[in-house]
Parts: sequence; structure tokens; C-alpha cells
Amino acid sequence: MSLRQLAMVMDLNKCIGCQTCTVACKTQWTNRNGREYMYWNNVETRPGAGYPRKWEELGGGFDATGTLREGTVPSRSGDYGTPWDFNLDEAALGAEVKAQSVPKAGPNWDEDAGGGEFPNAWFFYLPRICNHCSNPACLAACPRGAIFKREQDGVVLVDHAKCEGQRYCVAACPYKKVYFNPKLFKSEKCILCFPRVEKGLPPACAHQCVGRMRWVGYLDDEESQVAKLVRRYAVALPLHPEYGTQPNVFYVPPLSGPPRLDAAGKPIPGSDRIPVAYLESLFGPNVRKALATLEGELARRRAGKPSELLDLLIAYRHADMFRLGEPREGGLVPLNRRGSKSVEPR
Amino acid sequence: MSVGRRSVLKGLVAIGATGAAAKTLGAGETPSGPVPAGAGGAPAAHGIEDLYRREFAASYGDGEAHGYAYHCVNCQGNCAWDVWTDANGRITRENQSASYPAISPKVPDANPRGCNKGVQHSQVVYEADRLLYPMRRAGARGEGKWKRISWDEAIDEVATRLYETMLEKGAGGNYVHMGSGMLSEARAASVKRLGTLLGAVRPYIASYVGDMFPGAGLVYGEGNLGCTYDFFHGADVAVFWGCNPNTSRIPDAHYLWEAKYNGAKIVAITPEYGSTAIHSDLWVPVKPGYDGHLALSIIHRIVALRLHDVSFLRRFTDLPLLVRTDTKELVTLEDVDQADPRFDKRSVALFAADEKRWHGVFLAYDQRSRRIVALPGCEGSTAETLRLKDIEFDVQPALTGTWRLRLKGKGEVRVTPAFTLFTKELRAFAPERTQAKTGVHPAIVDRLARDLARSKVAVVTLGFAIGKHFNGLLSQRAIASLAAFLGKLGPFGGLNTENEWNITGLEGLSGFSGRYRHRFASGFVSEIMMGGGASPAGFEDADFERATGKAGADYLREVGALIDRSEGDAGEKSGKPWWKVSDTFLLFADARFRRNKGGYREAFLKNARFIAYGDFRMSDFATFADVLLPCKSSYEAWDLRTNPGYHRFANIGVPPANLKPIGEAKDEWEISRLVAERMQAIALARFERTKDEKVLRIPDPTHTESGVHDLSKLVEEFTAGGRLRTDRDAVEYALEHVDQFKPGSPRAMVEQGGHLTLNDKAGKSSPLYPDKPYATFENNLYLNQRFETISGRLTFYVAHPLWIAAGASVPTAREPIASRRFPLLLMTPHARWSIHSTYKTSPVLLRLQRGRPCVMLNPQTAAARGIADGDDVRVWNDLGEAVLVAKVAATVPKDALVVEHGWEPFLYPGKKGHNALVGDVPNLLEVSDGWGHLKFGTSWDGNQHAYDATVDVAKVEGVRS
Repeated sequence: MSLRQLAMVMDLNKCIGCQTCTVACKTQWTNRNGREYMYWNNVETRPGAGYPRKWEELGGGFDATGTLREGTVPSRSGDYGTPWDFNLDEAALGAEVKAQSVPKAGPNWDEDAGGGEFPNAWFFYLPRICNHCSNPACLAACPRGAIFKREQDGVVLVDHAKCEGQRYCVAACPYKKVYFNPKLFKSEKCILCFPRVEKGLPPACAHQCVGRMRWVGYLDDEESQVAKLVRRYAVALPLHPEYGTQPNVFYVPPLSGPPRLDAAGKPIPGSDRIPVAYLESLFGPNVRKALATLEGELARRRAGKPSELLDLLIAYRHADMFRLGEPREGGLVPLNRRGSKSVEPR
Repeated sequence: MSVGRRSVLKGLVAIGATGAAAKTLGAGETPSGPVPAGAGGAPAAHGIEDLYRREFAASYGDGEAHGYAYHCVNCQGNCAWDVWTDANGRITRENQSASYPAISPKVPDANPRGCNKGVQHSQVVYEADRLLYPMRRAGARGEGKWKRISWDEAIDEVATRLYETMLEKGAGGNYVHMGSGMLSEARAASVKRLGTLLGAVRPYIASYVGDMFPGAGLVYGEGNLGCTYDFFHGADVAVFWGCNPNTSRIPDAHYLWEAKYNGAKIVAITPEYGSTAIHSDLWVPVKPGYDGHLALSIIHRIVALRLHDVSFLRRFTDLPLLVRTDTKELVTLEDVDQADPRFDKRSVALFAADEKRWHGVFLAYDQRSRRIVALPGCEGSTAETLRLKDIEFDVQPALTGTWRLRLKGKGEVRVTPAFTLFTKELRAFAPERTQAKTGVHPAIVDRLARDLARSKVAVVTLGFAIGKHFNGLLSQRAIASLAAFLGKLGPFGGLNTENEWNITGLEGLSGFSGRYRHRFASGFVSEIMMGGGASPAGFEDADFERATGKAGADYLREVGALIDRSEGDAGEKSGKPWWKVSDTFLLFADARFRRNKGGYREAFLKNARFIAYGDFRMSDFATFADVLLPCKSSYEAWDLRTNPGYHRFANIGVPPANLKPIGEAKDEWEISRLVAERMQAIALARFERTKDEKVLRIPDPTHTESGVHDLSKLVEEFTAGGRLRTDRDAVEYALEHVDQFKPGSPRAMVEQGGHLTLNDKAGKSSPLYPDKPYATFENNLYLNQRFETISGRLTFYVAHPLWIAAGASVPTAREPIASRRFPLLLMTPHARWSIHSTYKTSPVLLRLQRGRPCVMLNPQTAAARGIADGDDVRVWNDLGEAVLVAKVAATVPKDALVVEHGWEPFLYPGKKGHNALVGDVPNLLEVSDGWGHLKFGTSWDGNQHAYDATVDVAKVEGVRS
């Protein structure tokens, strides 16, 4: 158990599916050193197979008695998708651009495909990182004791000095957010950008999120937005709480979406385009209450009344979305409030 | 958290602790049997933490060396980024600056602007398709054989070709253009400057890519109008029509959903269920191409419910203007027999004292004096105001009625306000009547009418998809008319296309105070003519009849005759200008073959004697160049960008201090200067040899002040006496000369995070308040300033003879031209994964798609053809075929296919791109010119169309293995 827990809230009503987070994470951590196929952060269109493909069917986590459930290691080509290379060296001379292997699976395979039947199609975006669980199945499953939670922030890390690449953690994580690095023969995963956080810079996926849908803070900091959204308003819920790992990433579930249309094309008032049962299957039974709270506050706001909850979700100041404490070891802040030698007058 | 701990222990117990050696799990494997417990979870100091800290430190590098950048591409996003380099001067990544100041506690700030493309530019900078060295073609065009040459050789060849063409064909023989891949104020000015100095042709950029709003320009006198995106935060209703901001306006999209949380109703009107629709309060699945019908239905409903603001329509629109019932012409003061007692002569003295301008003064029936009056505020009025009531006058123009009026030498005619004719036209657009076409239920029309007309602040955002239909001009105009009809201006909203700031002082960067003028070509007409001219390919007479009411041959003859009139120097003032003579091309950042409709490429290449092309990467177009010039990309040069006005900031580009040069790439200021220097040297040498004055002073009576291009002064002129030699010179010039940047300096911009905030002078038709979101036309609303239209008012009535003949003098709508012989409309909306064609070849981004061009189709469309998700499919029609991968998507209507636009042909098997399936006929009304404010320019040109192709789709085997 860590002394403190750094947590993230993601508001799915603000996610626009742009994947800026995914790419920000990739350039920060996973474009090198055997991590090329990994997406520590991914965004999947739901309904859809997700990333890795059908990860919810690959087991892991705990059962109701707290026993580890069996899990399966995803396949590189079929489930994660091998990162296709392209003949850009030939294209540089004018050749037809081609993937060097036939793309069969990938991290964003079902983008915008949706479910339901047109015009009553429905979908939403679900960004996912490691949940930095309070009860990590990966940690429980590691035969080498290589996985630990940092005391100061609860970040779950794999200690490469101990890891022998046996991949029990990969199978045990019910979210499939631990990856095997074939080059290092070690497991690796999202580290919640702790080296950035230590310097006062929020995690790349959150800091660079242009939808402004990710808040980062400590759960024991009552003034943090994450504490307010998770505890005070209870509108932010863990993904698959039934997996028993106690995730520390929380989601504001998506509102029902525009009304469904009847056969004549007339809107059906009060209709749920996104089936609530589907949301319950992801976020548990509390999803109805969270949505009711949101709807209630929206109605207040439309009537011209104030709402602290909606002010929080609006996030007037981007910088206020992150409460990371004081930077350690020489902070980088203020990152952009400095002169630079490169622009000294000539 | 004792529960967690217990679970951990239980877990360990459950999988056993026998001490046996652990088995390593492979893919698809599940742990079985007992597994040894490890040493337990007692963390001490961990080396792994230092490993990640070191990795981060290496990526961050020396913060002092960071560069500042935005991406100078045609997305218009303009976002401030911090560019990180490692100790070796290699760019590692980019992180948004996220340092824009908040304008008010009540308005969300703009941070951290950016997107999925910008965030990976650092990766494509070093990709294998980067152009690193100048190259000369060593085989047939497009064959892929190149010879590396020196910059000296490359510049010499370009300069020689431009010079020889000027001698042989005149200045119009050269076509010098910075394409849409480089929209910025400082950098793009380089090539414009060179082209202007040489009198070369260059097209209007918005219309040459097909992203123009002529329908908005018609109504408002200005195509680029609207609001900064933070304005939505105060809106009651915001409609996004024919656009998908969550996908293609990524940096600003947060404002929509924050506005929703603030109480706004967000409406998405698009044929497909897209990423914006999912979060909207109402999604309207209009049938593609019938947007104009829907807009007119909403107006019909507003009128039926009497929700329109009559006093607004009287004062700010041309709807009271009197029209002859017989000829449908607007009556001007010049036409009137002022002795007619039904005419109030006093209004002439008050509003239109200059007899020479009476042809630009329009009339209305005044309900107070019960006489017909001349109006103030018209183009010919001496009273330049829309004010109708003052100490001396009180005019109340009627919207309905019919009167008789005597015209000079023409006897008596019947006249009626334009409003009468408009409401008559509206009868055809009753919601119950249009439903069969638009697919939109009257209940939705009613909802939209009430929400839009009753709300205090309503914004209708017009997307680029509307103008991509053949009759999209009429649809744009209908939607703009709806916004105008709502009576919303300035702080109350209204129409939103793309706001543009008033940036003054930059003329000196790309221009020469009129000493030299470039040959400014119509974007769409010049492109269509470059592609072999208007062709009926892909359409039959029935299609023309349906869309235009005319037979194909007649329609094309009419269009062709108009286009012919505006050819060359002689035709420049007679319509949409284009120059047949151009055959020597110096192009930058212009992957124009992505729009390879029909036979465009073939015709272009046949005509082009010489193509020099500069870019940072190989594009499909680049593969056909004769000489390739490697250019710096966004992070490697100094630059500055403001417009368009989605936000109020100007961003600066400053390369990282320790950046290691990438190949031999140069920026366009250096390239353009080298070309000017070389041309001058060549011309002087020629003159030295021949003593022929004409080889040094090349005649150009129409586009130079002195009548000649004096090549002995080329360098002096290009560098403005040595002041404009580099990219950095251009940035400093801009910061020195632009009023709206004051008090800006490179140092101050860097200290703020790479940007500055525009001052109050940046607003065109409203003040830019420091603490309020911006929206256009406050000056018109509160100060009675006239609009830049012929009547000075919001324009519903067009009296151009061609428009009257087409039955389009009032807002109306027409059928799409797309052939009905194929079942599926090919829709190609703006992309999430590229900026048009830029970044289409990025492996980082391709891996987040399907790795190649992809077509989305409805499950029923797929099932009926035996197509499964992931199959290769052939999309075809009479014009050709293209092979893509199928993605089965419930979000796509059954009668359409969706392909994100921008895929260049060389990304398809056999280099056959999807645009080859698209025929394009120029719309006669878009080509029409010369009435009132409908004169060629940045508010009145036309679009190439892209949504005019119907196709079918079938599974295909064996294309890829």
C-alpha cells in the first residue's frame, strides 16, 4: 500500500477521440527500445474489440473471493497488432507507399464504427492507461516480486532488476495494460509519467489532452478535482470494478447522446441512444446514479443556476486540472516562462 | 486499504508458492499449475525509477535550447508548441506550450491547443520520405529515377527556366505558388514575394483547394466571418452544419462540450453519425446535398411561426428592396422617374446626393411617408449608414406590398419588396414537402426553428462539406440566409465560417506597394482549366437537367463561354481570371495531385514544360517534378502565424538553439532569394552579351507600375534593400510593422511561451475586447455600419442576370448533380488523421488507422455485397476504380460511402486514387461574376466539388498479400 495515491479522472463526455494522448505517450515513452508495439495509452471506440483485441475476454484480475482469475497473454500480431512498417525509403523516390505486412489488427481498429443500426448508431471513446490499482493483479501474480507500488504516489512499476520476463503480470492484468518488452525481455507499462510529475509536469497524456478531459491529483487531497469528482460528487467511476483490482483511474460516463429517431425520423424524447446496460457492464451499477447527477446539474445550468460540478468539468483553467504537489529534484516550471538564448537580439 | 492487501496475499496463495522454477508465458498462453512466489512486494530503492528519469531527461534535453513552433499546414489550427531536442541536437518530441493567457474567469482558456498530427511532427521530420537533397529527374516524369544535384545546380536551373519563360511567354508564363501546405504569414510570404515581383500567376488558395465560402460572401459581403471558438461558451444554441469539429477542428473542439456544460444546446447536422454528433444534444441526419432544402425549411417554419424579427429585417437586410415584378431586376435610383409623386424626392437629398452613383442606390416603400424612398447605406448612397431613424428622417421600409412606380423612359412598372418574392419561393420548402428529399422530419425542423429564433445567442457554423456539392453554393447561401434571417449579429451570434483577423502592415512582406502585381487566378477555374477544362464526364443529361434545368451540352457551352471571357491579361477584369499561357511551375508545399479528379494529372503534366517543387517530404505530386527542392519543416525555420481567427493569438516559430541541420534543407526565404539573385545574374550576363534592352527590362504593361520587370534590380527589390533576406528577417519585419502585434517582439513572444495576444485593433467588424470572446458585425449592429455588399445590407436578393434566369435571385435550393446510375454517394470529409494530404504517410498515424486508405460502409451495404470488415474492396464508377480496405460501420448511411479525404494516389494500389472517380462540372452561378459585390476576389470565387460521385463497391481478391 502506498502512502498516497495519484489518480486520474477522464470525462468521456469531453473525449473527442483525437488520440493526441496516444501519440503524446508514444513519443514520450514507447517509440523505442522494444516498446514500439505498445500503447501505454490507447483510445478505443466502444462498442468495439478494443486494444488489445477483446481484452475483456482475456481474463485476469480477481474473482469475488479475491482469488486471481486465470488470464491470457495477448498475441502480438493478432491482438495488439504488429506496428506496420512502410516502404518510405522507396516512396522517397516515388514508389507506391505500402505497408510491409498486411494490417490485420491495431490499436484503433474499430474507430468510429459503432453499434446499433443507422440512424440510431451509437458509440463513444474510451481512453485507457494503466489503472495504477490499489490492489494490482499484476503485482499479485508476479512470481519474482518485481512489481511494486511507489509509496509517494502509488504508481505501479516493474522493477527490471527482478523481472525475468515471465509475463504472469501480462496475463493477470484484467485491463491488459502490462506489456512484454521482447528486446529487454522484461515487462513494462504506463508509469503515470512519474519523472514528469516529479518535475512538476503532468503526465503527457493528461497535459497534452486537447479535449481537456483528464484531471490528475491525489485522492487524499480534498481540494483536488479528482477527489471531488470521485468522492464528493461520485460521478467518476472505475472501469470494471468487478475485476477487483481497485483502479485509480476513474471515468465520468457518457451521457445518453442525441435522441434516437423513430421509423419516421422523429426524435424519441428521453431515449437512450447508448444503452445504459452497456455502460453498467463497463462501470458497474453506480453508473445510473452518476448519470442522474450529471443530468440534474445540466438541467440546473440550463435554467441559469450555478453548478460547482459543471464548473469543475468545464475546467476553466487548464493548469488547474492538475494538482501534483511541489516538484521534486529541480522542477521545470515555469516551463514556458523564460527567455531563451536563441532569441537574443543579433 | 486492507482489502487490497488481503486480495494480494490471497492471490499469491491461490497460485501457489511451491518454489518451483517459473514457466515463461507466450502469446495466447494462460498460467497453469503452481507458480513460485517471488520475494514479496517490499520495495526499496529501485534502479528502474532512475532509468525512466534518465529517459525523460534525455527527451527533454536542455530546456534552454527548446524551440517554439506551430505547424504551418492548412489546418488553420495554429497551436503553440514547445519543441524538445536531445543533447545531440536531434528533435525528440513536442509538448504543447499550454501557456495561453485566460481572457476572463468566465471563459475557458485555450490550452493546450494541439492535435494528433501536431504531436507527431517530430517523428516525420526524420522519416525516410523526407527530402534531404536537391534532386533532378533522371527518367520519365513519375518514374522514380533521380539524380542528386547541388543547390547551385538546382537554383541555376530554376532561375534559368523562370527567366527564359518570361522572355518567351511574358510574366504570365510563370506560375509561382506557395501551396496550402504552408499557410503562415512570414514564411509563405517568401514565395508570394518572389511571384509578385516576377508578375507570375498564383491562384486564390481557398478556392483552389475547394474550401471556400462564396455563399457566405454573397450574403454577408465577406466569406471569412464568425467567432473565436471561446464564443460558444456563452451560446444558447450552436449548430454545426456540414462539419465535424471533434474530428477536424480538434484544438478548439473542447469549447463545444464546455459550452454544453455551461447550458448550450449543441446540434450536429451531418449525413453520417460522426464524432461530434455523439456528444450533441440533437443530431440531424440530413441527406447529403439537401442542406439548402433543410435551411429553407427552417426559415419557412420561422416565418410560419412569426418568429422573425421584422425590425431587424427592415434595417439590416435587403429584403425591403424593391424589385420589378416583370423583369425581377432590382430598381435603382437611376431607373426612377423622380417626378413620380409616389416617389419621395427628399430621400435623394438625404441619402443619395451623388447623381453619378445612383445606379448603386436601391429603393424601398416607406410605411411612414407612404412613398417610395431611396435608401441610405447602399453602395451608391452618400449616407453611409444603415440608420433609418434620426432627427431629420424616420424611414420604415415595408416588407410586403405591391406598388406602381414610373421609371425613366420605361413607363410604369409594378414593384414589390424582395421579401415578397422570397416568401413566395419558400412555399416550395415547407418542412412537410422537403422531408422526402432531406430525410429530416418536420418535428426536427420545428425544433430547430424555435430553438434558433427564440434563443438570445445562436451560432450556425457552416462547414466545408457543404460547398463540395455541385449546388453547394446555393446550400451555403441558404444556410447563411438562415443565419442572417435569425437577426443575430455580434454578441448574439449568427453565421460562423472562419473568422479572420484584420492584420495590417504585412503588405510589405509579400507585396511591393503596387509596383508589381501578381497575376491572381481564380482557384477553381484555373485548376479546372489546368486539368483540361470543364468536362461532362461522369454525368448524363438527366443529371444536368435535374441539377441545372438544362441539357449538359447547353450548360457546358454557357459555362465555357463565361470562362473563355476571363482568360489571360485581357480577361482579368471580366470574371474569374486564369492564364492559359502558364507552363513553368515553381511550387512549394502543394501536393495538388491529391485532388487528381478525372484527368487532371494527365492534362497538367502535358501542359507543364518545367516543374520545380519544394517540400519537406515526398508527395505524390513531388514524384512528377523535374527538380526537387528540399525544404525545412515547421520546427526548423523562423515563422509567424495569426490567421484564421479561431483564437486571438499569434504564434512564433523559433528553431531549437542546438538543432542539428536535417539534410540540406533550406527555408523558402533563402530559396526565393537565391532564385532572385541567380535570375539577376543570368539576365545581366545576357544583356552584357546581347546589349538587348529587352532581356534585362522585360515588358509587362499590365502588372507593373513602370511597365517592365527590371531584372537588374531584382535582388534589391526582393530583399527590400537588404532588409528581407532570411526567414528571421521576415518575422522581425512582421513584428515591427503589424499594428495588431504591438507591443510584440520575438523575445517577448518566447517569454510568454511562443505567442502574443492580438491587441484591440485585430477585429474587422467588431472590437476585439481583451476580456470577451470575439464575434463579427458588432459595428454593423450597434454603429449602423454598412456591410460590404452592394446594398450595404445582408443580401438575400441577387439581380445578376444569370441568377435571375436560373430562378435563383432569392435563396433557393437545387438537386445534386450526382448520377443516379450508381447506388452510393462517395463522401470524403475532412480527415482526423491528416491535414489534407500532409501527414498521410506518417507511420505513427497510419498505425492508428487501418494502415492504408479505408472506406467506411454501412453493415447492410456490406452484407448485400458479401463484404466483411477488413476485406479489400473495389470502389468504382464509369470514371475509374480505386482499391481500399473496408471498414463496416453502423455510423454510415446505407446510401453512401465515407472515405477520409487527402489520401494521395500513391498510397493506393497502382497509384489509382479515389478522386479519379469524381467528375466535376463548374457551377455556372459560381463562375458568374460582375454583379454588385459578386466580383472575383477573396469573398467571391468558387469551389471545386468533391461530393458529386456515385459509385458501387465490391469485394476484390488478391490485391494485397
